[in-house]
Amino acid sequence: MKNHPLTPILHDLAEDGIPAEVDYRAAVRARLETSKTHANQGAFSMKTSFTHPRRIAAIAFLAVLLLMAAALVSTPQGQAWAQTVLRFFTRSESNTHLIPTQDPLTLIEVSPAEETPAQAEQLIVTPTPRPEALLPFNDACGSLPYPRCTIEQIGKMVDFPVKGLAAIPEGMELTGASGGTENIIVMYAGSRGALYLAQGPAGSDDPQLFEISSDTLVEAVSIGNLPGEYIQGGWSGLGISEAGLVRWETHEGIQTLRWEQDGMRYTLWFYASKTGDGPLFDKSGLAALASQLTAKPASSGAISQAAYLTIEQAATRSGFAIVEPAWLPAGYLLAGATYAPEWNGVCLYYSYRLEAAAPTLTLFQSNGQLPSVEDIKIKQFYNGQPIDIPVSIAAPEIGGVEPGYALLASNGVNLGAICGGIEMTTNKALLWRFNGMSFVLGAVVDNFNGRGFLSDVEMRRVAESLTGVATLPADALDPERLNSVEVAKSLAGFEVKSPTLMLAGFYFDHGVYYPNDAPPGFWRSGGSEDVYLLYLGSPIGDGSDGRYASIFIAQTFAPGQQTLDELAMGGGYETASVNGQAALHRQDCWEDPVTRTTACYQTLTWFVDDVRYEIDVFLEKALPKDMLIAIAESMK
Amino acid sequence: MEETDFQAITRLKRSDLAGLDTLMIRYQLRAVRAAYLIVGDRPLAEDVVQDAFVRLHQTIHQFDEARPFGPWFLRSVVNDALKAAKRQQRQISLDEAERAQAASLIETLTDPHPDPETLAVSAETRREVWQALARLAPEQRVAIVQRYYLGYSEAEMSASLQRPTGTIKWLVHTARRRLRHWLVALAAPDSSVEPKRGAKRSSEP
Repeated sequence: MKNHPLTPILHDLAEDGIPAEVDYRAAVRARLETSKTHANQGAFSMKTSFTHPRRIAAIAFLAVLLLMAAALVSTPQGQAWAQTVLRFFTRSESNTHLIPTQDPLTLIEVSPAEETPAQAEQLIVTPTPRPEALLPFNDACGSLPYPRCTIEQIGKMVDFPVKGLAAIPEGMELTGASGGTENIIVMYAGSRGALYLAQGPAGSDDPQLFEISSDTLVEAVSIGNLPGEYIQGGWSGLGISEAGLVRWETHEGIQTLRWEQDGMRYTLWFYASKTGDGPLFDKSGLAALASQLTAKPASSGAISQAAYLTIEQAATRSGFAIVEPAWLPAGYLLAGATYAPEWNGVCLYYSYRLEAAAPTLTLFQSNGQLPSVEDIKIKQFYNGQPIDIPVSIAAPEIGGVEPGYALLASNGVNLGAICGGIEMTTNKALLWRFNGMSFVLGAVVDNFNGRGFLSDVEMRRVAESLTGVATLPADALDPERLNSVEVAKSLAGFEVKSPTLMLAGFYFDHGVYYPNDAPPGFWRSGGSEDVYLLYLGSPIGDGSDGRYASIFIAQTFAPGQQTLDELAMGGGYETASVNGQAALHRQDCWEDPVTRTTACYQTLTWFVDDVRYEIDVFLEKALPKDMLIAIAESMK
Repeated sequence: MEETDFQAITRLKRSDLAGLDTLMIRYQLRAVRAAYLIVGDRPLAEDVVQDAFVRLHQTIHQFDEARPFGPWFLRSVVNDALKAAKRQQRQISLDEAERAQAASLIETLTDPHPDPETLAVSAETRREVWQALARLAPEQRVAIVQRYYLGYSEAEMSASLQRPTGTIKWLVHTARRRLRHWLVALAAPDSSVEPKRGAKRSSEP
């Protein structure tokens, strides 16, 4: 395996700084002795110093809970109780089980010169969601992950008392509630992650029941004076080669607490934010939240979509005439507007294909000053320290704008700060001045999952549709949204292949071409020539989050950048063969205990003549490996 | 016969500290060197690793011994080192005398097919990389250490940092690019020197 030049230098540096003779066994043993002594003295020590009185009180409270819980599970009696008498979970007989394979799955022959269907937008504008993915109150309140009723509203729809958190944790807000007559779920979300509080009458069939593995550690927790049970982790199959096999993974990023009170059954899930920008809850933290449930909960935060104004209402508040783009890529629908008084700005939100999906395109306009990139830069903190998220800035020429060019900021930006604090999914922005007005167009980069994105060319077209000065021919090539495999093949300097076998129900959505000297982007490091082909199937889940079953084919010409051996070092791969070439296959499946949905991500990678081929498959269930290899081997 | 990780973990779960000794002998050096590259300070790196072993002793009952221990433990150390580095935010200034060696170093670091002689880098070169490394954001430093010292793949980094693979690609790339940037800055304060790109393919068919 070839080493990168940095590797030997890093090894030398490490050896220079840390001699091979180091041995910390004595020091660690001494620390263990010290910690034992402190524990015996009942001390509760934390390295981080807390000075705020409320924090001290909270820490003290958590410490009491922690010690109570620790005492319970650390005694032989407590552990036995925790392990054998499960009140709120059921154990399976194994620590693995199978997710069924996708059904039906059929390979059909397709042309190697696929084009985006002219009617692609119509194909899936109104998808038929799987009924089991919808909550019974879907029509009125939506489903996960975008429930939209208030707690008060949903309380009127069921025959049991609905509770929520008395105080919403810092960094989170109420997203909304939905459910059915027997069970409802209240969702809170923010930088720390998401909290889901399910509640319903105890004694009936348990819709919250979650089967755990034969060896999941179940810890006893006290919620006030009530017993509860706490677990960490969930079912996932990261790097398991057998199609659809998942096993229990203990992980602090997914925590579940269950208990009963006054004839009601409660489940509180915490999903940590994957960006790691907020502190995690722990067993005591969740128990503290559980103990403060109230029938008069806090309701701060925006209920998604309930906060939208009409364009007319926004115009009345801002005092200026609001303009809409004369051109948008197909599939975008206006969701609504908000008014941001601090900028005297109005933001228009557009959703892609599905009205229920979170908006992926935002247009800010104001008769005030143009916001700076700094104004829209994401402010994230980790353990109290600001995180610097690099922003790439370019100055593309845009017809009609003043002074002839705009600023294009990619990555690390979000229009939430100038749109009244409403968090959005945007991560690229075009800023310009025109006709005495300031504009910021927010969009997302292409994540190749079927969600709405805007190419740089499309952002330019949108801006020019607002200035009325079009500088691009209507048929100008857009390398980030190619509507034909053949065009991608003609652009690339290496031999691009495309499959002649494809899963039935999938169609070619678009292709992307990056030349060797293209600037690096979200998906590519730069210094390589890349072609991506995206085939889409049906929406995942109920379609409300805009993701689709997808088959993504990446072809990268970058001699010497990576080898199969290097890839294999990551672990979790099994060897395979594609037309006689060595390949690596990996599958990751998982189950969501809250939504009861499954998903599988599979990847197959091989090299031919310095071109790296990678097929990534994202489906609700597992795709048999031989079908994936058949697609790979059909590439011509 | 040498005790396996599985046997050591089983012993540790029975509160037998000999199991911890086995794991420490096997992993402490790699762990502390990785932490050192991230935090840039030996005492702090040693503190991070010792803390990790103490915590391992306290939480070993949660570990599924069917899983490989080494990657799991190193991931924990790297995350702790990242937190420590963010608290510390090292700043190291560079002076004129350090610029001379940097230009050739840039080529070394960006050449995907270096010859063995080039790889035999000098102490000066190592010092410059060390200083450039120190200028990276902590997360970028982690990306470099995981990718090029620990030899993680993007998939493994993705699992370790709980970020999508695309983010990892970006993180490694920006770290490499910033590393190059600082070395370029060393060589040419007016930024007029472009780092040599990786071998580009001829445009000839």
